[in-house]
Amino acid sequence: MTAILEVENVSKLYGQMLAVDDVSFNINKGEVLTLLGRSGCGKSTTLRLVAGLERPDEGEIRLRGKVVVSTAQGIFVPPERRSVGLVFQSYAVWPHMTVFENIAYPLKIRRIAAAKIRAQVERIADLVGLSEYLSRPSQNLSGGQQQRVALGRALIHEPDLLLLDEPFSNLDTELREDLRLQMKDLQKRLNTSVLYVTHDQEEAMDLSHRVAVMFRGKIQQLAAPEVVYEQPENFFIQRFVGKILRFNGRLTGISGETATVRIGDAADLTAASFDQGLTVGDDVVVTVRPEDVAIVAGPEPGGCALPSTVLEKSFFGSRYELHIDTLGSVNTLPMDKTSRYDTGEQLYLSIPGGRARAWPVPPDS
Amino acid sequence: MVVVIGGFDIETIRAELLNSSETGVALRNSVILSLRAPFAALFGFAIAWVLLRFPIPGRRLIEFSFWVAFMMPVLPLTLGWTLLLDEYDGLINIWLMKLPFIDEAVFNVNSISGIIWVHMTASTVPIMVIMLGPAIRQMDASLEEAARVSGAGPARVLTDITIPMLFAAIMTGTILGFIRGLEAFEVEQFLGSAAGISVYSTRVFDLANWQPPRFEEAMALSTIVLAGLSLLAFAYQRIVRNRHFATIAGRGSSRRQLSIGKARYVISVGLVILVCISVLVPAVLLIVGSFMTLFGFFDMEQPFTLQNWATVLRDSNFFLALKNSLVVSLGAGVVGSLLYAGVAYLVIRSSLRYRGLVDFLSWLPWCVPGILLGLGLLSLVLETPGLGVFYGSLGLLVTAIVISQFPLGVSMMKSAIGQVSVELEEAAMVCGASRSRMFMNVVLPLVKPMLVSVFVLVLIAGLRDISTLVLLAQPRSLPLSILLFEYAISGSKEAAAVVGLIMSAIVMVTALVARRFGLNVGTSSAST
Repeated sequence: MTAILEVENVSKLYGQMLAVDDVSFNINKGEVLTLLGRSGCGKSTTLRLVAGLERPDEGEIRLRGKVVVSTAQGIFVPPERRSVGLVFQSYAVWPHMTVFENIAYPLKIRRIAAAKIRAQVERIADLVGLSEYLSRPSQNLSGGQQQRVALGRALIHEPDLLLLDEPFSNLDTELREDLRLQMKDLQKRLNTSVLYVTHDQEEAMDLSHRVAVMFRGKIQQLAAPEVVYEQPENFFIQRFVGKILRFNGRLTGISGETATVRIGDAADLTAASFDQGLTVGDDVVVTVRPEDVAIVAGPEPGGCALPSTVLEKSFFGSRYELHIDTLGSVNTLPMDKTSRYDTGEQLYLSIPGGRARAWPVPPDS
Repeated sequence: MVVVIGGFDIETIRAELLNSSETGVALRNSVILSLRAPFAALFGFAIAWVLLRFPIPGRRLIEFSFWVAFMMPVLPLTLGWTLLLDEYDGLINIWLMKLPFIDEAVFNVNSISGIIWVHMTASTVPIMVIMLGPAIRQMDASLEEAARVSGAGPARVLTDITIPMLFAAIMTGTILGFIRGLEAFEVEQFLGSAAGISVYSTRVFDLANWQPPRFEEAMALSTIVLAGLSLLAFAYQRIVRNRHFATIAGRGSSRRQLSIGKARYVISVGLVILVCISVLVPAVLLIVGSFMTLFGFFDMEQPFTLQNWATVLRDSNFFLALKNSLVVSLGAGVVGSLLYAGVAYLVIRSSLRYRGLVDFLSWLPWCVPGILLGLGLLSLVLETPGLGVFYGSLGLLVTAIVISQFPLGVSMMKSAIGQVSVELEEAAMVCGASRSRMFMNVVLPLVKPMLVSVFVLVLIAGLRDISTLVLLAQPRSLPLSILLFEYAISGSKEAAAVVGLIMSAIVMVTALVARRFGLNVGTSSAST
């Protein structure tokens, strides 16, 4: 079965800078793949390359097996002839047309009969919840309504692939969650293939079948959300996706994939270390997810407990957050409301060895 | 402004309309010539759009060249064109007549089409490109990209999305172009009078130069024109009322370009040719012409000479004119920019009851053609007891320029002052500063760039202006632009070429220096 989208070794240069660096991935029918990363990592550029709004300097892109751009063969299919739907970050809803005209536009271009257009537009409007707004001029719509117009317009000509460029970033939180759920539901019902771009990791993990974490134009890891979260391939990915606590230390022993790290100058911690090329004596960073850390009153026999001091306690309604100093490393840790540690107090962090990771010290820390 | 209305006289209007066929012909010609505005607007818009949206090689040079054409005074370039297109001596006609099947002149610059050609290439189209560019820049490129992804090709995007969205801007450009067309004077006088073509402005000039001057008829004629322009302004308001679409370009989105492959080279070459026709060709010819013994006559024994330059540069009239130009333009620049800043501040910040009226009045001069403004001021000075002493004075010229630039200047200062948050002023007052102290310490420094831009624009207007000043200047107060005009229409075309070159050089140097310093001189003009 051919993949809906095949991106093969695509690169794009802006001046001297490689905005997209040798990127490859596929999307299968009905699959949602998200490009996740900070601003400037190349995710939007990649999306625009797939849409045909930019030309790559290297590489090939195929939609449903048909080549739409190939630098080797000198092929470039312009955006109006690729069968994709695109929802822009700013929605790009045309203010001089009504909601109906906006959504109908792709069909109008394809010269579909007026009666058929009306039927299709009403069907899509019903799907995205805009049926009462069809005859309204689109000038005064709210953000959420504009977003749905853009979505309707992108879906109406039943494209092979739906491209979404940070569609929720301009909306407030409550609306964002509502629309996210609706989007998920819609995608399942229509079995649309989706290439999604965002910097919001929760969105990425919730909506995707697979996530590609991007940094500086390169894909760092491409895997299911659970895998990216639990088994990140480098420090950067683990820090970007979800929260971490980090401790500076020195490697005192290594056997196979288990390392022993001395934190500060007092405590020893075992951590997993996969294929990082670390040797004894290296400075390392040990990371662990906050949900894997337990706060205990005193050291435990046979376990690893790091002595810490509470610097600051903050209240956030549903939880407390403690700002703690652990032998020189400062971190933030949520604490549930039943525990009662306060500023200045001592506590111990219990870290199960199998849940911590050791990394070489990253260059920009 | 109010001055002009003083000429309103029903009897004379009826007399003019019924008895004077010349007036009718002049008005008809004015309208015909002004109809170039919509074509120039659409053409200029397409050029500006192509330059912004597609990766055209040489884009920066092309944009710069259009800006140069926008800045260059038109009359000197017209002189250049006569060398090529004159019915009897024009080079192109001579060359074409060498062909076997052509035995009379193909082109005649002294005709309606000649006038249209000169205006379009040297002035109207470049002005549209420069004026409409910023409107396009303000539009979010995503709106066009969304259309492409929906299946529309580049041409479809232009007609379905870009033009409708920027309709208000295009309409504004067209109306302003039309008004400017009615105002046009020196080209029509220079090219048209030899062929008996008269337009509104030349007719007024003619009437005012009778001995004794026929002011009433000139006023009557002008009232008709003003009425027409008011109707136009009214119609414009109605058409554009519901068509203003606020689009705000997101971060970087206004500069995104769409790819069109190899076609961009073809377009680039086309635009370069256009630009050469607009600026380069007439400018080169003008330079050549200034060195000719007899302007336009290439087949003489000694066609070229340095004598023209020597004569002009030794003439005391020239230096007097130069001094007058500098006084008028600098004076108008200083007085104007401060006045506009004050009025703009009043309109935006104060709570005076009549500031809406002041705002409205500040736009009136836009509708008044230069020659009419000059006429109004002239008759005001001649017919009001006590003001006669200003007749022919430099102060009068300065006043004329300041009034003529009022709408643009106030508009630009309004946009600059509007950007200074009220809170900055309030903070100063809370710290103890008085209103005037606060204006000096907070507002003026923050709007300084715009203030200097306005100063430069008024200065350049003062250097270039012919139609407003031509009725007001007397021999001792003659500025360089009027000297040029007089040389041109009196047949001393060689001297005209020299003076034209010098004047153009001064204007261009001033504009280039200002642009170098990052000033807004039409590089991103304030939106109207």
